[in-house]
Amino acid sequence: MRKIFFCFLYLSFCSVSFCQQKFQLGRPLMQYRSAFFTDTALLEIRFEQQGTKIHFTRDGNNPTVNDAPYTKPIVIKDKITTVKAAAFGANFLPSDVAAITFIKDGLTVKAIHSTNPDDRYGGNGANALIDNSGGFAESSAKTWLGFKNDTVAIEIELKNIVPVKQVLLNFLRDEGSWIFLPEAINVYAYDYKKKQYSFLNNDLPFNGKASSGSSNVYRIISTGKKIKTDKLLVQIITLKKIPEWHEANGNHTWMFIDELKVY
Amino acid sequence: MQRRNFIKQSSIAAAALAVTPSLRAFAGPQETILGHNNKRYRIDTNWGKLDFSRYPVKDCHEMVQDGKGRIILLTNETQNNVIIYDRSGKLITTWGNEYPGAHGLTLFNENGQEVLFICDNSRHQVIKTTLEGRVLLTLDYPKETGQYTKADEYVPTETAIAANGDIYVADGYGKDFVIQYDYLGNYIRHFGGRGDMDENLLNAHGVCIDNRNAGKPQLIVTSRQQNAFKRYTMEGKYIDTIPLPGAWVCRPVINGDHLYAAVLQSSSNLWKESGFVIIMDKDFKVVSNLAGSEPVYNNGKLAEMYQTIKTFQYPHDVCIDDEENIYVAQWNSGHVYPYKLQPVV
Repeated sequence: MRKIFFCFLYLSFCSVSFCQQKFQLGRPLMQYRSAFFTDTALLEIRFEQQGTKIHFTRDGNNPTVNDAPYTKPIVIKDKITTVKAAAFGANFLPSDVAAITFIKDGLTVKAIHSTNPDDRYGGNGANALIDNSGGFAESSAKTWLGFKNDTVAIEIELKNIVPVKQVLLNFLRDEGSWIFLPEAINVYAYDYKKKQYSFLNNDLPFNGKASSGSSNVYRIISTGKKIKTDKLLVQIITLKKIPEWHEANGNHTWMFIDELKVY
Repeated sequence: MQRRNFIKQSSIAAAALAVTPSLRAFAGPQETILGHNNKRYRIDTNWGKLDFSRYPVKDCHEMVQDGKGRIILLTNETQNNVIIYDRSGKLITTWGNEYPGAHGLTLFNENGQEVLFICDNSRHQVIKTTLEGRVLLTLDYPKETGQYTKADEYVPTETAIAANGDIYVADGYGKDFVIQYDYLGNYIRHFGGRGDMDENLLNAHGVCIDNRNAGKPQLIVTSRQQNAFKRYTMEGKYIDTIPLPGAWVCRPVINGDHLYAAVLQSSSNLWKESGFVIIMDKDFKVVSNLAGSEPVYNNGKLAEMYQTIKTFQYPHDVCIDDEENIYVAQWNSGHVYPYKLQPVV
C-alpha cells in the first residue's frame, strides 16, 4: 500500500511540474540619487510584482526570507554601507541579489587633477571624481570618467596637512562593454623634505577572471603607515590587453572611474 | 514549511488534480500569468521547439505572420535562415543559407503579393525576397546620403514599408540614420543619425509605420540605448519622443490598437538576461509588461521599468498573430526557439 502511495505521489509530482513552470524572480530595482554622499543617502527599493516581497540586509550577507522585509526607503549614514536585496514569492524561485554600496565623503579635497579622459566619457572633468554624484552601474551614465590610456595619474590636493589613512576608488566593471578593472593602483604621498612623491602602497584590482553583467567595484588602499600630508598621487595602471577568454581579446581595455575619497 | 507538512499538502494538491484533471487546463493559483490589466498571457515555452540537429537556430531575431497565418522566423543560422511554422508550432518549411547576419524581417503586401525584407548585419545589405526566398531586390550601403564611405559603416537592423512602397531602413548598428527609398530602391532622403538633438538616435534598432490615426501615418523609430521611441512624419520630420525608462526596447510592432515590443534587457541589470515585453495603448501609455514590473505613472511620468520574472533572457522581437497570440524571438539566449503566449481572457 505504502509503495503504491509513493508511486502515486511521484506521478502526481511529475504532472504538477509539467503544467506549472516555476520561474525565478528578477532582481529588485534600487533607486537612489547617488551612491556617494555627504551627510545621508536614501535608498528606495522597488519590485512591482504581485505575490512577492523584498527582503534586505545591511551586513553584507545575501538576504533570505528571514531578513528584514523592505517597507520604506532606507536611510544611510555610515562611511561604507552595502545594502543587498532580493525578491521572494511562494510561486517563484528567489531572485538574484541586487546590491549597492553607499560611500560617504571623506577629507575635504581642495583641488584634483587627472590625465584627460576620453572625449566621449569626459564627465565633468576631474572634479567628477569628488562631486558626490554617481554610482550607477551603466557605462552610459554621464558621471563616469572613461580612459583608454595605459596609465592614468590623479593628483589630489587636500585642504590641510592631515593624517591620511585610506584612499578609496570606485570603478565600473562591465566586461561585455570592454570595461575592466585596472591592473594596479599605486598610491604616493608628497614628501616636502625630498620634494617628490614617495610610494605608500598598491592594490591589484583585476583578478584575471571573467565576470558577467555590469557593477560598481570599490577598492580601498590603506596608506600602510602613519602619514600626514596634503598632497597625494594615485597612479592607475590599466589592463592593456583584453584577456584571451573575451571575444575582443587583444584590444586595449577601457577603465571607468567615479569616484575618489580620502579618509 | 516542514517537510512533513509539505508532503501532506502536496498529496492533497495531487489528489485534487487526480479527481478533477480538467481543472489543469485553467489558470490555477500556481500558474504564472504574465502581464497586467487586460493584457495578460499564459506562456508556452515549448511552442517552437524543433530537432536542433536538423533545424538549428542561432539568434532568433525577428518574426512575422503571413496572409496564410504561417509564422515566419528569421535566424542568423545559415543552415536555415528562415523557418516557417504553423500557429501550433509545427514546422512547415525552411529556406535560406546566404544570410549570415540575418537580423530584420518585415512582411509587406505588394499589390496582392506578399514579400519579405531582410536586413543583413554582416552583408551590410537589405534584401527583398518572395515568401519562398527568391531575391527581388538588393539595397547596398547608402552612399547617396554622403554619410558613408564604405559598406562596413552601414549595419541595417530593420525596415518598414509604407503603403506606397517606400522603404525605410534603420541603420541601427551603424550610424543610426533612417534612410528612405522609393519602392524601386531609389534614395529619397535620410534623417536621425547620432547627435545630441532630440531628432537624433542612438541604436536605431527598429522602425515601423503607425497607421492607427486614419489618414495620418507616422513613423516610430527605436532609440534603444536612449530607452525610447521617437516619432517622425513620413518625410522624416521629428515629432516627439516617447520615453521608456529602463527598457532597451527593440522594434515597435503594431497590432490593432496596441503597440507591442520586445525589451532586450533592463537598464538596471545589464547583460544579465533581464528582458521582458511591453504593451502600450493607442496613446502610448504602457498598459502591461510581460515578465516586467507593473507600469507605474507618477504625475503622468512613467517610472523606471525592469524585469520581475526571469521568463525571458534577451527578447528581440514579438509577432502578434491574427488570434492575438504573441510569439517571442530571443537573441543570444542559448539557441532557444520562440515562445508562444496566449491571452488569458
